[in-house]
Amino acid sequence: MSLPPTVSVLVPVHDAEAFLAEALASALGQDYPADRLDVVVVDDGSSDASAAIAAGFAEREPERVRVLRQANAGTAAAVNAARAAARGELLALLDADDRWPADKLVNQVRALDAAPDAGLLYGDMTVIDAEGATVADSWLQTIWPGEPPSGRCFGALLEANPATASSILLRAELSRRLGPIPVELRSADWWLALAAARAGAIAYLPEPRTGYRLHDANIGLGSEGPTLGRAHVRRAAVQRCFLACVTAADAEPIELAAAWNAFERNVSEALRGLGSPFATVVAVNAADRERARGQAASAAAELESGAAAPAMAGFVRALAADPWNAEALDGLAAAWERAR
Amino acid sequence: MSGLPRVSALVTAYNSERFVGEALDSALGQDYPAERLVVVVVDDGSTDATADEIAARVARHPGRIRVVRQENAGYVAATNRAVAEGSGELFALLDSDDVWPADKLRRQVAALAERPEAGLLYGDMTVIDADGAVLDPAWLGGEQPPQGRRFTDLLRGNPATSSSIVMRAELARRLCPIPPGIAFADWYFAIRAAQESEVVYLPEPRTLYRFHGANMSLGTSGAERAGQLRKSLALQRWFLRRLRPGAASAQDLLAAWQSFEAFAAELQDLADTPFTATVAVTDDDRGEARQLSARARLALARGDVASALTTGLRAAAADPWCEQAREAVALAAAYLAG
Repeated sequence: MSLPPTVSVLVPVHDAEAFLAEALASALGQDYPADRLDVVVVDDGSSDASAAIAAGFAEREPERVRVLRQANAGTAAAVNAARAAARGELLALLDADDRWPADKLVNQVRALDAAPDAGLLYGDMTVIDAEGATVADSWLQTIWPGEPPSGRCFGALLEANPATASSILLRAELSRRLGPIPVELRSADWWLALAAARAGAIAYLPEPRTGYRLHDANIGLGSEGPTLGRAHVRRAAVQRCFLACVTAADAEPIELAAAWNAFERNVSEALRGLGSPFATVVAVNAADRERARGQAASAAAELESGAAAPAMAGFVRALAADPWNAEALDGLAAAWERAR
Repeated sequence: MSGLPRVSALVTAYNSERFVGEALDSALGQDYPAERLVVVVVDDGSTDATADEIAARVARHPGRIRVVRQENAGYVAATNRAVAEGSGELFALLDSDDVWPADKLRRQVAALAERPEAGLLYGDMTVIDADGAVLDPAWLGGEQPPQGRRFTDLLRGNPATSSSIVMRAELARRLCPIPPGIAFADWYFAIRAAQESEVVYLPEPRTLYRFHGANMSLGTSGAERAGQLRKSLALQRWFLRRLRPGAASAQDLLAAWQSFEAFAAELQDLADTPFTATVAVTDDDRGEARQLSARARLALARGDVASALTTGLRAAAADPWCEQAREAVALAAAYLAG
């Protein structure tokens, strides 16, 4: 019997003193061989007691807990730093305000082992409040209509993110291949899931469910106004990042159409939340406009030659560069008519 | 009553065979001295029986109607032509599908005579359908539409419909030709008049405003509404880009900007995409917006908040997506709010 794989738990933390200890304890308390599990905490410039709390854990278990510190640069940068420092064969993400049930890792590791073609696995979550009381048994049943996507599901993932950070386990080898998360996106989980699903298959394991904490300082259910607006801005940014280089091989026409519509919805929601139809949700510069014109022209030529699906992807790439490009908007509609 | 001013009724008509006769009859039937009232009709290249309808009235009322026929050039161009062809001291606009009650001119002219400082007067309307049945007895109803010199109130939306407007000929000539890109002659006249003089609102008598399939000014929906919103945004933007320091209070300026944003938001909703064409922004516009934003920031640094606000709004109107412009406006607004 071979040894179970080594797992590094990646914990980015920014001002989460109220929850960090519970999160770290839930990672260290996994029913998983202690010598096969280590924790990398990246303190993302916290100004509260988070650093001291993390340091306390490192002092007690220097073999298992390391703490890195960076000036505040956002979750994506913190996760990148943790990924770079991790030594395990598998990487498990854990947000500093969430907590794992004790059997989380052992079950996920077993499931990933049974799906050799999958590079990343994610699961469902139980939504909990600041005191740890259950708010909703299943996050995904709340937000995701139907079966959460798995396999080569890049197209489906473009629409919305079912994979919340603390539920994600991925192979370190894949993580290295994917490269760093663009730090300006400020969100890690969706990017990792999308990048993994574009590179290969991903897996979904409904249980055990991670405890996903809903509290005043995080964005999720029930927020509104500018806070909700900014959450939509971040989602739109992730979508734009992937739509900007999508190809016909990555997603079916219907998935592309749905993804574009989802992007539009995110931007609309962001504008509504931010309170102005002209708020900067998608920043477009002269180079973006130029690129969009070129890409739209190429896509139009492809459509002309009858290649509807590649043309559709081309128009979507152009629109990701400059969503106001009218040729690309019209072209996308025409290509979609043809492709369906 | 030889002291009454001479009035030109300015009628623009395009393919209006069904209604133009009634419109002309209502102008010719005013209880206003016939020798003080001339009707100027611009037939904007109609291809239906509009010309025949007009000719029938010319035959019936020799000497009272002046007909100008031009190749189709659009409503605004036709209005420019009508203003150029009009004579006398006052111009009264009449769309070819609307109808004046018989006492309309007499009472409006009398009201304007009492207000020498006023350059334009407008009134309420009764909305009718193609057959003349009343859809809404009083469009503006119990509201208190803008008056005086607060052009920013008029900029937020147009209460002054063409056929309800009487304005001084001298002012109308000064405001014409209506600049390219402006699609609403009446709205443009009302705002410009408030910038140059007083504007008066006289609710009655109410002009009969015809709402039918082919026109689209009041209460439209869908694609027509979208087109109307785009034109509204273009008009508001034209004025916002030309704001002068001290032109209006900060509160009024911000309210005008907010109505511009509200129209844009409504258009995005209607088009079902945030990327619908709202206002067309060129590279030159972007450059202008950046430049004006920088000037607005300098004005703020000097402590000249009022100038920062107008300059910031001009920048934001040039390129509504310009972040520096929007920041300058927000900063100035925050200062002004104390």
